[in-house]
Amino acid sequence: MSGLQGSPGGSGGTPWKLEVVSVSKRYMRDGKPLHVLDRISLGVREGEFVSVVGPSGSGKSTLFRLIGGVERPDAGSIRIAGRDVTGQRGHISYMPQQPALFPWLTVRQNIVSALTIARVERKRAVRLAEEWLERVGLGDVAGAYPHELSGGMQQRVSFLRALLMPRDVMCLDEPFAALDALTRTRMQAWLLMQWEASRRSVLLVTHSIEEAVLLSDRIYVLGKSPATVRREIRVPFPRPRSQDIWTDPAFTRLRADILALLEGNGEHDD
Amino acid sequence: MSQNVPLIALGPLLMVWFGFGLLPKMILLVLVRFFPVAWSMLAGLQHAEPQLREYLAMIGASRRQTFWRLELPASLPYFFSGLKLTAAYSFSTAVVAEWLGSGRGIGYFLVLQSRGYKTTGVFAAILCIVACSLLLYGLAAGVERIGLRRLRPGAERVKGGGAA
Ligand SMILES: Nc1ncnc2c1ncn2[C@@H]1O[C@H](COP(=O)(O)OP(=O)(O)O)[C@@H](O)[C@H]1O
Ligand SMILES: [Mg+2]
Repeated sequence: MSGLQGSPGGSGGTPWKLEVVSVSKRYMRDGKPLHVLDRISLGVREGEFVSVVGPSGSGKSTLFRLIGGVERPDAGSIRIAGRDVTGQRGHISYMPQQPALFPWLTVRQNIVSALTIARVERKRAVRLAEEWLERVGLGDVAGAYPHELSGGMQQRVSFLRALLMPRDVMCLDEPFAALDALTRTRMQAWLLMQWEASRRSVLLVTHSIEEAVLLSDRIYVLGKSPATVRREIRVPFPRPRSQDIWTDPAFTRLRADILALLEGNGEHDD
Repeated sequence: MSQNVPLIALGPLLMVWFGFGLLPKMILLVLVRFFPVAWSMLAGLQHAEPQLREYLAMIGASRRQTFWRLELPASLPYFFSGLKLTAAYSFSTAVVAEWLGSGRGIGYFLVLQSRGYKTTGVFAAILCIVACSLLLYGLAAGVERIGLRRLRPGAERVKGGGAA
C-alpha cells in the first residue's frame, strides 16, 4: 500500500511541504546487506502535523537522516517545498531525542547559534530568542546553562530552537522518549498547545501511539524490517485537542487498529 | 609520540643539522611542546559529542560552522591538559638543550657542577629546575582556568560546581 496516491502536488488544497517519494535504503552490516527502508512514500502539507509510528529499529531515524540530507537514499527522492533536495542539507529544522544543547552556551545562546546557522541575522536572532523564551515561560532561564535545567525544560528549549528556525519542515525524532511518563504527558500537552498556536509543518517520529494520535492530523504506520508504509490514517478528532481524547472510545478503537498494523497481520483483531 | 624519542639523541642530531645557535634549541622545544598539545587536541576533536555533531549535520551546518561551534570548544579541555603536561616537560627540555650545547644556563651549570662532583651545586640546580617546572605548570593551569571560563563557561561550571 502506498501512502501518497499519485502525484502529491496535484491534489489541490494546501501545497506539500515535504514529499518522500518511494525512498529505499540499505546498510551493510557484517558484510550482509540490511534492507532498512523499502519504497517509503509519505508527505506533509503546509501547516500539517504528521506522525510516523513504527517499532524501535524500524528505520525511523534513518528516514530522518535521509530527509535531512545527512545520507542519500539508494532509490527514490526527497522533495521540500516542491524542490528536489535529495542528499541536500539545510532544509529542515530538527529536534532529536536527546536535547542536544551545547553545554558551553546559555539557553539563549543555544537558540541564537542555531538560528544564525539558518542565516537569521544575529540581532534578529537574539530578539526572537528572548521574545519566545518569554512567551513560552522560559524567560527566567534564558541566561542559564543547559545542565541547570530539568530534562523537560531542556526539551522545551530544544523544541523552541527547532520552531524558530525558518525552515520548511520541522522534524521531531522521538522527542519525549527519554523523559519520565509524567513529564512526557506534560510535554505532549505543551507541544500540542505550542503547535496549535504556530501551525508549522511538522513530521514527528514516535513509537507511542497515544502521542501520535493526540498530536497528529495524519499518521503513517510503518511495518517492520524492511520498513514499508502499512497504512495512512487520518486522525478524526477535532482541534483544539486535549489529552481527554485518550478516554474516548473512538481513540481506543484507533489505537487497537494501529497496534494490529504494527504487530504485522494488517487486520484489526481484538 | 615525540615524547618517546630520547631527547638526548635528538639534541646532537639537531645541532649537526642546524648548528650551535638558538635554532636547534627552539626546535627541540617545539617538538616537546607542540606535539603533545596537538595530539591531545586531535583526540578532543574526535571526542566531540556525537549527538551534537549529528544535530549540526541535520540542520545543515557547514564544515566551518561545525569547527567553530563544536570541535574547537569541545577540544579546549584537551588542549589545556596538553598544555599543562607540556609546561611541566618543556623546562627540562630547555635544560637538556643547554646541556648539549651552550655556554650558559642551568643545563650548562649542571654539567659543570657534576663534572666537578659538586653535589651541592647539582642539588641546587635540580631544585631550581623542579621549582621552575612547577611554576610553568601552575602558569599553564591558570591559563586553563581563565581560558575555559571565557570560552566555555557552562561546561566549566559543570566540572566545578556539580548539578544545579
Ligand atoms: N549507519 C548504519 N550502518 C548500519 N546499520 C545501521 C546504520 N544506521 C542504522 N542502522 C540500522 O538500521 C536499523 C534502523 O535504525 P534506526 O533508523 O535508528 O531505527 P529507529 O530510529 O526506528 O529505532 C537498525 O537495525 C540499525 O541497526
Ligand atoms: Mg530512532
